[in-house]
Amino acid sequence: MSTVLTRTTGVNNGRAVGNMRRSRRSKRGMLFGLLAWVIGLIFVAPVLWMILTSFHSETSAATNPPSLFAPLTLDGYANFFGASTGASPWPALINSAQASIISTLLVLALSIPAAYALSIRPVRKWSDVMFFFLTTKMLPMVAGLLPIYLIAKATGLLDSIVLLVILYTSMNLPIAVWMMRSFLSEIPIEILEAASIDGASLLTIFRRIIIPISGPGIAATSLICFIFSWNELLFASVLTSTQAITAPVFLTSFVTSQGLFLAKVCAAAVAVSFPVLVAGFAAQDKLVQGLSLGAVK
Amino acid sequence: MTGTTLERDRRRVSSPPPSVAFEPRRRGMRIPPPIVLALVLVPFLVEAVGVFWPAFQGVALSFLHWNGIGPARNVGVQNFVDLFSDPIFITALKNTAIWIVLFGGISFLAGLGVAMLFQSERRGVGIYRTALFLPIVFSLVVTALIWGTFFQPNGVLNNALDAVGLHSWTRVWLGDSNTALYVVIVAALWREIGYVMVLFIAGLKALDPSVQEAARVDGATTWQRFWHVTFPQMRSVNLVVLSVLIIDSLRSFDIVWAMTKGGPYHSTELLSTYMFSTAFETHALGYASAIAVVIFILAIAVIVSYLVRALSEEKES
Repeated sequence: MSTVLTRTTGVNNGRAVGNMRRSRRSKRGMLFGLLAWVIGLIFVAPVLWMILTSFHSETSAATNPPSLFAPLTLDGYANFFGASTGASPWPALINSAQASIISTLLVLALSIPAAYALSIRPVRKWSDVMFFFLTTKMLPMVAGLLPIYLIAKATGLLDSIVLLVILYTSMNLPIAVWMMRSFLSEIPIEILEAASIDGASLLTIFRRIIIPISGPGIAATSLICFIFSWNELLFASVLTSTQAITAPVFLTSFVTSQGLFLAKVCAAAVAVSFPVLVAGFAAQDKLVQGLSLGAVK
Repeated sequence: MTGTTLERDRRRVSSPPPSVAFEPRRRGMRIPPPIVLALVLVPFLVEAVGVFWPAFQGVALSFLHWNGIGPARNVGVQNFVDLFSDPIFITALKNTAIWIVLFGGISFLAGLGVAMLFQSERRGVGIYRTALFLPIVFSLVVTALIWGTFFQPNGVLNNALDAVGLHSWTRVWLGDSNTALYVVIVAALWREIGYVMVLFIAGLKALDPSVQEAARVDGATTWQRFWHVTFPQMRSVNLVVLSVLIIDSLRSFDIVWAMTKGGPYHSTELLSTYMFSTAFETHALGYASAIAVVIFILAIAVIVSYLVRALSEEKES
């Protein structure tokens, strides 16, 4: 818009136009800033509120409107981890960590070789294979829930982390294959060719070329898988009860039983979200890339 | 994003003359095909066994009358017949439709809006993108907790309404069957818009900037550039986002379950929550499977129409 203006009005009053342009641009910039700030706040404020409340005492958490400057305390966390209210959260957190980490490792072990094969040898049928993986990612998990529950019950796998690991692996495998393939495709072919002419084995190529070059991509993929597994609720709430209970399931029951103690509940939510928040920030850029990749081919 | 992976594929597949199109391009690599095949086949099988097989098991279950403990009785399609005279199922179907329209529609428009706002690489725009993206990493249980508190009877919203003298507007948002569904949608939107924004920004990046520039030189206003230039170019991205949103709507479960469990009086019941409570609270396994089959068929319809498009697009090029 502003370029058009300067172009159409000649050189004579260039100065006046320059001023006008500047004020127009700054007005626009301010509008953008204001709008962006308000929108950003809408998305961040709830999270900030939760974190702030988790550091308040129960009495100041219960005041209305929420008090911004109430004294901070760690009581909420102490209450949550100290299990003054029943079950300790540690087993649930450890279960979640186990299920998420082991399934993520399995996903990597399966998806990197597959993605390697898919990106190195593009056979025409490969894109059908990629779409197959995409389809499984899009299928509603809820449709398979009951059969899986019945199979688990019949095989004695109910309430075991093994089952969760298997499910989370098959849940995350499609997106991991898609992501890994896009990261591996970025490796220059010449390097791989040179290595194989020099007689490098598949394993050496993996260790010496792929892992170093695609390291960040591999890391991002694993963080995404970790986040998805950690947050999974549907399967965990049906298939686990006491032994293998995961953090989100624990949090759900904690909210139900302790819902009136806002500070404690917020502390619980922050504690349960902490690992994924860290993972999310660590993977930020690649996370965006990976998420948009899985959906928008 | 329409350009990263498949674009490569297209180039790979179409660039050599037709006779060698099926030849592996990197002939320098000496990997015996069986190994390559195995590398792909294993994950393939994991998916088939872990995802597809249970879904088809579900179809078999849907013809049974079974409480999970006693003997199962084959009732044919009776479960499906019953579904359509079940008022709760009809409500769930209607709510799922509302969910698709409101959750999907608002996510689409708002996501497109913020993507247009934050697509340009100005200073500090990264912070805003991160802000919108932040909710995605939180589990839906946490989302439900935050928004549930916000909409509580003595929560922030009611207090704000009181403070500006709109006491008559205050209500028990989540306990009122007229408002509960919309409250849950608000919470779900908070977590989805950032994701949709990411998809749109990726799509916008793939557009040819010279067309924009040409329109700018020709004197098109910002709105004209968007409506007549950018938006038509985004047809394929739009369709992908719409498919994703419909699929996400059909998959929505966590947020509703964590906030209302489908209540009050089934006013927030979706197909997924009704299937869940029928299976694990009423223990009508055959009936629940019939609901699952309905969800499955709806999702497959969307996925297939999406794939048909994507694959035909690929053939064209």
